[in-house]
Amino acid sequence: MGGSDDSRALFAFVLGAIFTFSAIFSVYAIAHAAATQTFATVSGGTSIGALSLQCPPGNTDISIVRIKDPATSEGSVGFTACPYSLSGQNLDTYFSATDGTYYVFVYGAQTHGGGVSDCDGLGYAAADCLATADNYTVFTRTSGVWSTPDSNTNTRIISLDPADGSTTASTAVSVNIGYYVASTTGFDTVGFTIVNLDQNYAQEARVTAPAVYDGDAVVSTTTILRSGGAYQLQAFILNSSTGAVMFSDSTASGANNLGNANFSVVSNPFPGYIGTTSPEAAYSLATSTCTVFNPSGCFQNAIVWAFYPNPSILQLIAQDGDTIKTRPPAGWLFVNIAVLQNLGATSSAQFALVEDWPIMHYIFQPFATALAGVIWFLFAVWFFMHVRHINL
Amino acid sequence: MILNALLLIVHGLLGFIAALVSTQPVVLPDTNMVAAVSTANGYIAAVKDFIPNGTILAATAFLLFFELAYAGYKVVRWGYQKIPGIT
Repeated sequence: MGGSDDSRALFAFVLGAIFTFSAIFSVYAIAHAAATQTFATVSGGTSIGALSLQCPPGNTDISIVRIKDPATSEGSVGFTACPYSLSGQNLDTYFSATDGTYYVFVYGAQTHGGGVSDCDGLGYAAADCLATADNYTVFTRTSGVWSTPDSNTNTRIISLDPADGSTTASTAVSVNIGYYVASTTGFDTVGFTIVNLDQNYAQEARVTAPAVYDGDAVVSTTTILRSGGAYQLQAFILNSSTGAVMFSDSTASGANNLGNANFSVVSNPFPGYIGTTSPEAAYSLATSTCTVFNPSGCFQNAIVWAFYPNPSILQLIAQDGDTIKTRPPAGWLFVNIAVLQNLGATSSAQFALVEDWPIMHYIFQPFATALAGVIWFLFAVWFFMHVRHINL
Repeated sequence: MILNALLLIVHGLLGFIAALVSTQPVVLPDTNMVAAVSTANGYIAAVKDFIPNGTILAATAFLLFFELAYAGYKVVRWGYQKIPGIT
């Protein structure tokens, strides 16, 4: 009888464990069913990030739809158990290796009626879609680069090259302007002005842009600047026939609206060796193009070839100097100069002579100022007398 | 290219000197010197409100710079005059 009791107790324990585990799992599943699915975002890469899709309420399966263009064709439809996760997947494999706009969205497998349409804002019946507003996501592939476009649909400048804060090595500057137009009506030109910030003159160029609607595009051209220095690239979008400015920096608003970018042409390629890195230190040693139409570029390149120092040689000289400054005999001098440079009123005072503010402010500080003047005067007199007797 | 050639000559001279002195150990600051400067900083901080320390230090630094430059000039001039034919 004892053995039978033990068996019943063991059976009851296993049954209770299964029941408890099932209860916990049910709570976990319900909690997940109520959670919002998370869509992947990619930024300039080729691999998808974390794509985590939870089950719609009342469903144990979901459909994942991958389509290139909801207006033309449906790429593929797959049913899978939910929740579903995907990460590290190469987007070229998962979608297609051709440029375009792709949509990913999910719906409950039990209610979807099929057909080529889309979900939520894309056309599926609302009953078939998830209740949340973010139940689809969009990827775009431009020149082989995947990204998640932002929701800004204003006509605007998206990217500028040269970028803000960049430095180019040539006065033949390649200008690339990325733009977005909400409507092709009246749009035909992307233009830019390059302003020399050192000498305050400007030169302008306009490029007839391809009329791309509802998408990103880039116009490219090359502009030859007169010299090196600090410049500002100002881009704009306009209707050249009417002169109406559709976008410029003055009309920019919202995120990702670019209008201008400050850049330098050979500001200082030798930071740490010569001068500073500020745009004001720019000097005219940039190379240019040597053509029949730009003969000054040939002279410019010849001068650069003859007199432009090699940064690696400057670095070697700097390393030689560092070695000499840290070893005897010069090292004895430089190390003590470094110690003496710490001399100053930086430590806490050894003692306090006067702490009353009125006495300090009205008596001692004017006294110190007057004493400084006297010291400088005496030093100047002494220096003059000393220099006068120097025999060169 | 012309400037690079000149810089290479300078690098050759400095590299030769650097190769010679690199046989010596790296110079470290003397601990007594560091302690003296630290102590002096405390006294300077105590009197900085009524004695123009900055002026005194600046005048002294200018004086040291001038005398070192003058001494350097004399050394260079002495070596220059050792070249045959130059007085």
